[in-house]
Amino acid sequence: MVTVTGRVINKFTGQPIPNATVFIAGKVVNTDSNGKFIAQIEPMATTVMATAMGFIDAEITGSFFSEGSNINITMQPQVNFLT
Amino acid sequence: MTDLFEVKQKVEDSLLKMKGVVGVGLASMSPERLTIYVENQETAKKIPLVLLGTETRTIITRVPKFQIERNKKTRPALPGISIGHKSTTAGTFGFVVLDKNTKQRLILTNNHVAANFNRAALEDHIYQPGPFDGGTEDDTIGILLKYREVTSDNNLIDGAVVRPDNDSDIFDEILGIGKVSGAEEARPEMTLRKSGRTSGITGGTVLDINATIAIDGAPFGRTVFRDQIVTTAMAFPGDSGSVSVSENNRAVGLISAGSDTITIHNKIRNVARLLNVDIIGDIDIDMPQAAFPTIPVAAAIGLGLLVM
Repeated sequence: MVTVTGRVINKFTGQPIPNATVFIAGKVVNTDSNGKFIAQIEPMATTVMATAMGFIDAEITGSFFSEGSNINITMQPQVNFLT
Repeated sequence: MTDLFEVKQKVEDSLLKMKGVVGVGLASMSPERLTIYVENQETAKKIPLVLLGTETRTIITRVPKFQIERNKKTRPALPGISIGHKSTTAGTFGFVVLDKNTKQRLILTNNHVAANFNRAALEDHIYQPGPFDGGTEDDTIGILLKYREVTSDNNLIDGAVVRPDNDSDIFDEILGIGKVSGAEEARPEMTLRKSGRTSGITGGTVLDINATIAIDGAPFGRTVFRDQIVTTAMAFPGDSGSVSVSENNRAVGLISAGSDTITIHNKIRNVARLLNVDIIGDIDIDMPQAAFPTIPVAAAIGLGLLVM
């Protein structure tokens, strides 16, 4: 097992997204108030997906993660017409 | 003794023609005096101490403004207040533009406010205020003149223009912002302001000037807009159609969509070009084209994108 860390941020504002859910190598973790997460996974090439209320799901495909990998995920706010 | 009321009647029209004089009244004080309301000290100094044998006093004040409720019927209607197609809820009257061919003054707003996401018919009645704010047929301000279709991809603008039934029913100055003259390109970190039906005057900072962004809420599902300005959040539901302006009161964007954290603005010169309208006070220059193919107005009509 290896330990990877990461951060989930708003694509436009750069602000951290707290309480985002990150799916990585069969594990599910949540971000803290600073948008950060930590997970212990098998070292492998895998897809990382993030979901958060008010944002469009984000995905990073085919990256190889090993001990100490740092994963930055940017999410686009879910935008609606304003009427 | 000179009758104070008579004196007031004799001098008030002349006084009101003086720059900086905003009102004339009768002071209930002893001795009786004529009260002249002025905008500043400079004007106060120009007022004689005695007029037709009556002493005067000056009071410095701001020009009184009419209190306008943004979600109520107002004539003439001002940019910044509620408007909407009979089948929509309510959006915002953005500002006044000129038809490029006829030079007629038109109301600019969004397609989704005045054309109900392409579902309206040309010449449908547009209400001020919008239906959500109680607008009915009796509140018709004009007709839908033309709009740019919103499709599932490759949108640049969400725009429509309304021809008022009476030219005197619309006012050029944006409520709380004033007269807008000309247009300006957005720049990163630029500050923009808008006047909207829901949140009134708010400001935001430009985060992106060439964003491609997915927007939800159209009847046909998610739609993609390109070449958009993104700012920090400065608009809420009902503010659609507001025009964002620079610190110099030049038009920059047409607000269409947003979230809790960001607001999306169509570039105002894209709006003008694709709706074939002029922005009052804008210099007629050749604008750099967007980084992806665009089509001229005649071709857009042929393809059914510009509906007029």
